[in-house]
Amino acid sequence: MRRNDHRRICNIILKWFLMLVVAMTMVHCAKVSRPGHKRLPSEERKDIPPSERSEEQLPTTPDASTPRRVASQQLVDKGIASLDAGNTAAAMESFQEAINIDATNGIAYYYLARSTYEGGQGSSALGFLDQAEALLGDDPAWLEEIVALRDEIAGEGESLE
Amino acid sequence: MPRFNRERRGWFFRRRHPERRGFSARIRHYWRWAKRLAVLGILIIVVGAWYLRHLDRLIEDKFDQPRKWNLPSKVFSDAEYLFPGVDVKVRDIVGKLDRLGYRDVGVTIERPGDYAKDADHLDVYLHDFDYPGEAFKGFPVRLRLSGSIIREMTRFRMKESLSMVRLEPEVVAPIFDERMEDRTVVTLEQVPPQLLEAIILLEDERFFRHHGVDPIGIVRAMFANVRVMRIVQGGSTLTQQLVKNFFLHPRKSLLRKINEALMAIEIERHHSKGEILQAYLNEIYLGQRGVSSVSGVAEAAKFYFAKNVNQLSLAECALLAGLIRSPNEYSPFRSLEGAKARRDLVLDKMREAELMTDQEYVMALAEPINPPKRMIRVVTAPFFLDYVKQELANLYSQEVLEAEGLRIFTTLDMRSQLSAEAAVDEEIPRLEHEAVSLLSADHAGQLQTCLIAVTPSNGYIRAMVGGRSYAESQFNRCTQALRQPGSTMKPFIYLTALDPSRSQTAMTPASLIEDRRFSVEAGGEEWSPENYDGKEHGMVTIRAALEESLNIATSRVAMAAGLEQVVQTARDAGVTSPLLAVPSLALGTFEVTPLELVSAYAIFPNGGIRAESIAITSVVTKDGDVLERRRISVQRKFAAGPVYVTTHLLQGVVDRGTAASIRAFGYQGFVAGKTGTTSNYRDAWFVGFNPELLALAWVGYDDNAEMKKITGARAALPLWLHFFRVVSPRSPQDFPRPKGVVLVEVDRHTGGLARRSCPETIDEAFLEDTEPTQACDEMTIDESATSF
Repeated sequence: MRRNDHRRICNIILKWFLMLVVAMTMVHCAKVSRPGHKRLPSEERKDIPPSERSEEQLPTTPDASTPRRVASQQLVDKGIASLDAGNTAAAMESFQEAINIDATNGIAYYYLARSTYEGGQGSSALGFLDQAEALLGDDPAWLEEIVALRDEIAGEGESLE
Repeated sequence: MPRFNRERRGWFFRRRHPERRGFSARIRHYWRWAKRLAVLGILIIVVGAWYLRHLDRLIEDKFDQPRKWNLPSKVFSDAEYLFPGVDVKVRDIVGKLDRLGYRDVGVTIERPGDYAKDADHLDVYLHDFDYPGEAFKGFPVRLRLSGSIIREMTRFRMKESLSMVRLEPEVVAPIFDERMEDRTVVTLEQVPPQLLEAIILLEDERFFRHHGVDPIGIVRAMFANVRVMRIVQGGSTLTQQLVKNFFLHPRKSLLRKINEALMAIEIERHHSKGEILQAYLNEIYLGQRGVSSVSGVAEAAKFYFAKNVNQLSLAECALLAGLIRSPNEYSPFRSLEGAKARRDLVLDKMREAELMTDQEYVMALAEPINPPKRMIRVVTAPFFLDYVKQELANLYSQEVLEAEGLRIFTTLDMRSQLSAEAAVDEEIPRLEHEAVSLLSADHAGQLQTCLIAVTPSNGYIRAMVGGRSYAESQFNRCTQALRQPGSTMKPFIYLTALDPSRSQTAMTPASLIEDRRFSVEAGGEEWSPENYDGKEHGMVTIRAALEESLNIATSRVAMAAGLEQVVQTARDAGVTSPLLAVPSLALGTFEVTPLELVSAYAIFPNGGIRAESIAITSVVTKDGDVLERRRISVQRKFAAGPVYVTTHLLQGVVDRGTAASIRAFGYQGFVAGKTGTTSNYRDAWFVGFNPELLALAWVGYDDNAEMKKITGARAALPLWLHFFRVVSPRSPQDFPRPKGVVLVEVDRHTGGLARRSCPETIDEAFLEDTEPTQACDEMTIDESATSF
């Protein structure tokens, strides 16, 4: 009888201890409920919007005969649209790309000069005008535009001085 | 009741037998032990709590950060522009498509990344690509060909004509940290549900029902393994796999397993299943690309299928999920059959789990596995990459470049770069072989080289090879080596002389100059130039002096034009290295870097306008924000007329002069250039250009050792030609003649106006009003009368 008592007490103590350990483990492992526990995530996707294109009438090119020039001019047109929309950085990117395709596209240099000037870098713009003049100098209308822009930049420089 | 078995109970009751003592003593005994156990338990709890807190902190430090992974920055080449007239063979468009991961699908293009070629057309389904400031959505195009020339471009199966198509830039090289993990981070929303379902099904079916550790899964895996007596199933949950890969190490140990389980439980306490799954999808190892690992499903989708992860088909999702278990074993690059078997097994399981319809299953089974061509080469232009890093060093630390996933867009033209590397690989060993008797056999270092190409109009650096082997030497001879330019300096002398606004003495290409030895005092010493052939040539025209690279005549021209003026010309062209106005300047005895020299030469094809060299166009964050845009910078430095006249002379160097081997090798088209060889044959140069491309080749030893009798024409010119004839096989146009320049037919020997009595004539370029007035037969060459 006494022996049974001892064993019972011993069992109770062990049982309690084990229960304590199990309880603590359970508390530790208890999952904190949070939103987001679902089988699969939402599949909503945002479509990339098509690049904006200006429908505005754009200037004609004096030499649109070669495919290279046509490709380059497409980027010039895109740049002009960006410039009209006030996005000078995007416009400059387009004009630079246009030059990358056709290094003899003087119009791209002219507009790069214009956008660079509008971006506040008049001195850099003059270099592009040099290139534009070398390529478009035979066309009086373009030459007039180039000279006018150069005078505008020079005037700006003087007024700053 | 059996007696207490002391042996069986072990150490716990070893000292004294409780039965032999009284009841109270036994109670005390048990109470004592209970106290000990309680203390032990508390100790375990305290230590356990401390350890768990430690693991928790570890998780917080790494996992709870907004940026969990170091993302390598990627350096991109320039985009490729296609339009009617482009030669797809010359531009190696098919090779480019392969490098970009497009797949040759044979007949019909259906999905992004497909291409199909036929005799008269090339169909390409363009990839999506995030350009700086512009997200491009890919679409299918048809390039109609005449031979290898693009005749017309239209949207595929539509009549809409396209004037220009842009192929996305190629990755030149990633900039890794020491872990060398290539990864594209995606959100759960970007991952197709079929891929998620397949991964969960294969790797952890009870993912949404456990709390980090799955006892049921462990038991099931154990039974499965015991049944076949080998490891066929793992009991690790996705969370445990994430912990193992993200925090721990792959080595098997009991401690790692314990930590893995504890940390998995801890992560699940603090993070949602969605967060854990997203991290797993980005972390998981999925293969090897050369020395770098392919990590995460998005990078793996690009690697195995050349697609964005959201563009994967059901069959591709199944294969990708199946690859997780053993990426290299099931890789379609290793065995298409093995990959197919694995994919079909996954598809079977998915159908059993009712994750697809029977129709989808049949279609997925029928889908062929068509991975893109595998490009092992991780870095293409290592010298250029170093130059880009150097350019960025002031703005971004190496740590930022290795971790922030920046996208660096450059001016590199991959076609030109690969051609340049191939030219160096072939030409330098060939030179060593052919000139074995002239090169020192016991020289410590190898013959070295630089090949660099730029677009003269905008200064874009198109190709750069700074040595014959980056693995052996990272010294970039194009940007770091200071070498004497030798005769490649001469065009600047003649440009000075031919420009009335610069020269002290008016000269034209037809002017006569004395090629007879002379001495002049410089720096307290006598200096006397010698010609390469050791001879004197008497009275020669300016053209002949430059075409034949006559040192004596050129020295006279330099002194007549003014040495200070020559220095100014070199400065205006872009030479920044120290220059002294001494007579030897005419022979290029100062030092420049090849990049400096090639940039200076850009004024010739560019009509006197200097374009600064540029390598980087944009730097963009991984989220698409443009951090930096670099613009081209051009400025007129020279009048167009004298530049054209000098260029016209340089065309003669190629047609008749020291670089005439270009024509002998059959190269056609408009091209100008200048050879260069320094004293004692220490440097061999050739700089050549047409209106669209300018390239420089240099060959020499790093320690300035002699290369006996190896000239620029012999060593550097073949290298240049090898490159140039691949990337610019024919120049589409001549150099544009500016206003104020006239062409006049003159006698080659006297420079007088051509007459029947002088049969060897040439169309010579003159600035208006400087053309000769005397006929050739009226001219008498009074060798003692020259003023030069």
